[in-house]
Amino acid sequence: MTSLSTKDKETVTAFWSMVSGKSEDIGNDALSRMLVVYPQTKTYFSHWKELTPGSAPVRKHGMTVMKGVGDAVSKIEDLTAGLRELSELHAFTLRVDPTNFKILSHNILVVFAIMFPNDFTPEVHVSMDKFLAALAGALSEKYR
Amino acid sequence: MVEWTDFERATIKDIFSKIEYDVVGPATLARCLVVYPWTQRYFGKFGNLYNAAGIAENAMVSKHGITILHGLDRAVKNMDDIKNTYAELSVLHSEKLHVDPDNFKLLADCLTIVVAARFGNGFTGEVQAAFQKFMAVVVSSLGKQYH
Repeated sequence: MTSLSTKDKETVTAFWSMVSGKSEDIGNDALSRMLVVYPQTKTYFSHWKELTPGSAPVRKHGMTVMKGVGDAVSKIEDLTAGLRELSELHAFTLRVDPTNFKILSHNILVVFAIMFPNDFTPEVHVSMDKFLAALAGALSEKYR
Repeated sequence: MVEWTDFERATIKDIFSKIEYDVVGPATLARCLVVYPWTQRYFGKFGNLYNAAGIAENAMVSKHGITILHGLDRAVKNMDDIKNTYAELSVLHSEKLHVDPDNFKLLADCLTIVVAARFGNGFTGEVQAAFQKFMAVVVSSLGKQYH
């Protein structure tokens, strides 16, 4: 949608440096929530031993996802170039339908609201929402 | 007709009995106007919506936020027939207010975020699922009479 303004980038970078220490918990909660609230997303993980919220595979994958988010924050000046490899992975190997990026983003925002109710202000919310949308866009680049 | 489990019914009643309408309502509408600024198109007469601070302090936004939230009471009391409960409101939003029904989902998402912040860890995945299902039915019902 809209590209990130300087203010957005500053807001995202500042908020991320505040929350990244909890990224394992954030990833675990966001992913667990996604699997419960949007059960159709479970179809991508039929190869896991278990899908219960907080279980080992979920926690591990939550960490993987949040590492990707942190990486994207560091490459915020050029997400398309910075996430090229990840885009190829999602396009050719994982083939995750891009609607799911929006779903996971929503759940990450819900977790931010729960864990950081006073810091996740409307201004932070809009910048993080834009950032996650831009991230999803960069991940979708190689799809077709 | 929408099927509700006992858990879902209890969860919705619990949430709406606990939230402070005069805090959650204003916070939700204000958040929507900041996060999705194009929604401001419906509030041309509300005065200062120039920035997040202005929106947060705007008395008309606060008042309207409370009105909207109380509008959900009807659905909470009539969970088995939200569609008909909101038929009139749907016509109002379509024919008088001319609100694009896509906006209902945006407001619902903001309410989810505000309620999540309010309940913290109590807003579990299961509670979130029930709440989002309820809001999805509300959003769908409000859009039903558009033609």
